[in-house]
Amino acid sequence: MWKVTLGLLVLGTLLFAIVYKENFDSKEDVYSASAKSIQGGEFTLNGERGPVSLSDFKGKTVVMYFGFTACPDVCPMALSYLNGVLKDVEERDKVKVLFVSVDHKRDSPETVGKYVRFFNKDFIGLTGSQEQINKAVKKYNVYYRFIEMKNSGLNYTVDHTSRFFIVGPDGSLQKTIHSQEPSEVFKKQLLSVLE
Amino acid sequence: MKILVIFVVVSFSTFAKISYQDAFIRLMPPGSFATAGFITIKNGSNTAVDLIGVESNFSKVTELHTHVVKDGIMQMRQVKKMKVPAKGELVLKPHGKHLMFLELTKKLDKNLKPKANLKFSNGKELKVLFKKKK
Repeated sequence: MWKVTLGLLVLGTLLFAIVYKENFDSKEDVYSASAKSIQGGEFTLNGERGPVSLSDFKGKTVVMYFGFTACPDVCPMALSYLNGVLKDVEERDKVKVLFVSVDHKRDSPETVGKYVRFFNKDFIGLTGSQEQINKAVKKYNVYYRFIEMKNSGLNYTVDHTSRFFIVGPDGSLQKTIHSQEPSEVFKKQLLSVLE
Repeated sequence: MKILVIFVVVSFSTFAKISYQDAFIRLMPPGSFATAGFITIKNGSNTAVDLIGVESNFSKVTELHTHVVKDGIMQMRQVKKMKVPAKGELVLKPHGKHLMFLELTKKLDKNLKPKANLKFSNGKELKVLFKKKK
């Protein structure tokens, strides 16, 4: 009887370890999540000139980032980072950068467009209705949440995932990279998709 | 009178040991609502002080904010004060604590000389001139 109990205990511990690693692997959270666990895929949002779908960029490698324009630190840093990396990539003409604002309350397609062009004239800014945004973020496992700031001039902030998504020319998600990864790591991943 | 002189000397020496370096703000597109400022505040005195407020020449409102990454999620929160430890420093840097300049009143361009008065819990202020970075 004790052998069965011991066996079940060992099995239980192993199962717990596997489940824990799958869901709470801190390295994945902090650095790079596996693109395999994220569905990715088509979405339609609004740009300055009207609706924009991911499939509009078929044949190009797309780099996406989800943020908001009142974000004073990580979002501008992410865009500066991308601009810096792309300057160093010979095949940058084959890359399109999409910045998606999840802040449908404060950001319009015009606001986002103006914001991203400050960093690079070819970057594309998108946003949409809450429903449109939610459809897109669900596919890319992007988390965002409005947090009320009662005593702040900001009124609210937006907690959000800070991660780059690299989509291949066929529209399939290829890589996800945390925005705090060294730029050499990002460049290597981007080049591997461009090859 | 003697006590007053000692008090003034002590107050002055406490404040005189607060200095700053690496102060910069992030340049943002015209029309932006907000930008962040970063700075290292050094406290050479034996008494800790709190940074409790900021006024700038380019924003209507300036707040103290923290930035933490929790489970891969960026979270920004407002705080009332930030401690500058005795014989230590308070570091505000990207992806961390920062000054949050809101309702910008001037264009953040090369012509701007971004200045701020930092207010401390001992009633003193520190004038800061920021560099600008994109």
